[in-house]
Amino acid sequence: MNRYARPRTVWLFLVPALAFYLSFVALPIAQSFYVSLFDWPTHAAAPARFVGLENYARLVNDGVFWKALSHNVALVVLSLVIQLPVALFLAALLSGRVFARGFFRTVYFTPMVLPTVVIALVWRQILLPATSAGLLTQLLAWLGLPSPADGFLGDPRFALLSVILTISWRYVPFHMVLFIAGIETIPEELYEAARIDGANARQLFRHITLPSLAPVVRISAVLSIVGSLKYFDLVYVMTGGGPPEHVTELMTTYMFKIGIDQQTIGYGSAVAVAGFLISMLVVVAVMCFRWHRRPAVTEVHP
Amino acid sequence: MRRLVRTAAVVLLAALTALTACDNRGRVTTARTKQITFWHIQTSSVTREATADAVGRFESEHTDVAVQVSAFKNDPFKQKLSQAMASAAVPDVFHTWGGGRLEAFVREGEVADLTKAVEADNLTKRILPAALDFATFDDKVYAVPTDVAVVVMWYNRSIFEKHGIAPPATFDELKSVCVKLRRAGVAPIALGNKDKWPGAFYFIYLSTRMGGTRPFADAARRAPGDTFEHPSFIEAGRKLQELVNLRAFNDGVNVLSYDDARDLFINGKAAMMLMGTWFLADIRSDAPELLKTLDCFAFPTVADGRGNAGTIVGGINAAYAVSSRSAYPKEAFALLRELISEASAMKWAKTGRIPALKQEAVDGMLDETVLKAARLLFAAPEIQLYYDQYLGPRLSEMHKSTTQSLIAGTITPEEAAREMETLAREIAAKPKSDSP
Repeated sequence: MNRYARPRTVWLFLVPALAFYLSFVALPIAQSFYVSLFDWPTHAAAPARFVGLENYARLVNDGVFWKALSHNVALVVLSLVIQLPVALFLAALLSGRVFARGFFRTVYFTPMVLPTVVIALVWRQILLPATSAGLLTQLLAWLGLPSPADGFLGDPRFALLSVILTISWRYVPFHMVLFIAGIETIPEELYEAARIDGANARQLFRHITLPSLAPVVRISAVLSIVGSLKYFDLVYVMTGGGPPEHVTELMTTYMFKIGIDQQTIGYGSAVAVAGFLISMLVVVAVMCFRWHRRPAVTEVHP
Repeated sequence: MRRLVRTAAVVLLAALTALTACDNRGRVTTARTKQITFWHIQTSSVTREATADAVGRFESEHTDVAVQVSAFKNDPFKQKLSQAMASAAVPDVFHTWGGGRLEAFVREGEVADLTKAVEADNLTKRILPAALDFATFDDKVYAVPTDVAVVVMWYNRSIFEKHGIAPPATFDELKSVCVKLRRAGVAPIALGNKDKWPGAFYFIYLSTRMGGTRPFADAARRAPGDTFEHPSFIEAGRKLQELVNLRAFNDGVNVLSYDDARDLFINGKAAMMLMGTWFLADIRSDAPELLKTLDCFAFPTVADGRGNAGTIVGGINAAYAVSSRSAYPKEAFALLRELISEASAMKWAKTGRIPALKQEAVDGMLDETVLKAARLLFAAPEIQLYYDQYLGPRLSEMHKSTTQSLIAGTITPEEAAREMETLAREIAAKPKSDSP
């Protein structure tokens, strides 16, 4: 049986989106792969030279790429560990009967509506050295606490962590909104029944809110992982991958450096493709993992 | 009712379209039968206007020529021009920075030889020889420079006077000035090296003072036996790290941007700043009162340095070349002449730039502060072009990032030199893979 009464209409509606997707997403990805097989200095007059997988061989031996990848992994792990719990906590807090709930929801949501560049510049100013009016370092000095002379962003020991915390600050509200939406779909009866059984607030959260939210948490986790693997903008504006060279480098900022700054589009594309494959691999792994855990929601509430 | 509104809207739209069509048709057609295309990168309001003025003067004198002007931002321009060269759709007149990039186009036969035109026009008598050098290859002139920028050490005279310090003439004096200022609680030199180019000035100056301009030119050209591991580069790295170690720079050098560093200087938290003459335009708009105490001195000389003490680091902000494919080379050259005419030079000087003319030709045009830097330029026997403008994109990135690492102390001068040399060799082995 055909589920759709008029398949032609379905196609008619699909075609524009599909054409858009194919020409602006699928085709460029394929093109990147093609370009990555060439030694192609865009700026030079020399023609592109086919080199097969030479760029990938170079990539495997490129310490900076592995370093960048390790920073992406750190970003993935810390994003999961920081963003989701904080977002969940805020969502739980702002779903209950809180004073001025709408106001607080709006306030906590603000980072989400600020342009990335604004966030980057504000946090940069917070994390700069005290002599350049860095807010945090000045505050610490005022409290009589030590802080790095070069500021948190200028000190190689703290630079990566500083950037990751800023990224977390920006994305917590996003997950918070997802969680609030999830919490609001939980039937009130569940809570009532549990309360009659004598459950306290913590138990309500642990045995009703959390399990019911599991699907949303998984979506959040997937989005957070993918986002962390292809992250670019805040880092680019805040540190440019430094300071000095490569301390906060991510796969994408490295790709930008090679492809755009050094005008070496062949090798730059190889970095891009490697980043794409790694992200794809992780996403597929996470998605598979998700299907296995499917029954989690129902098992708690028979 | 709704129908009526819709009909009215359609009628209105149709009327508007008809009106605009009339306007197009109604315009007077001129007898401008020759068309030349002109690409430049003057996109700020003042410089764009100055350029448009020159084009206007040219068009009013040449009533049969229409100039089609396109203004691009820096980086898109580089790409556009490379593409245009590859597809042979080259603009008649185009912007260039001279140096390596222009030379590469010259070698491909894309640029018209202007030597005779420049001499016939007595332009050589007016134009600053050091600026013309950037556009001269094998004694042939390929572009006409219009304005130059030079890098000098700016300092806040009131801070110097307060601590009883005189501008240092030698590197050792500079070091002791830095120590003195540090002790007094002032950051001696403002440097924001996040974007890597401001720190590169130190490396360029130090190696030029150590070994002169030859080692770099030879290493960049891959003359046999010449290398980026030349002692002058290694010594430049060492001296730069000496400055870092005695805390000559402000905190957070590697994370601060040019703007952050400029703020330190403006707020009196730092006493000196090694920067190009464009710095003045920023000071004029952000802190005009500072102009009274703003002064500059030449980058200090180094003991047993073989370089010329007066060599100044700088470059041409703009020069204009004519395509060898131009259908109207005469008209194109006439446009160049207008771009460096007395009237244009006046306009340039008003925007705070230094026209690429000899001292006597710009007499009275420059204001006092610009003149302080310009005097160092007029006295200079040669200009050392910024390395990153001379080199291809890969080597230039390597030069800037190794210098950043030197300043961060994560690399030794020997390692920095070796990295440059290794990449230069790799590129030389594959001709044309990193042309500037």
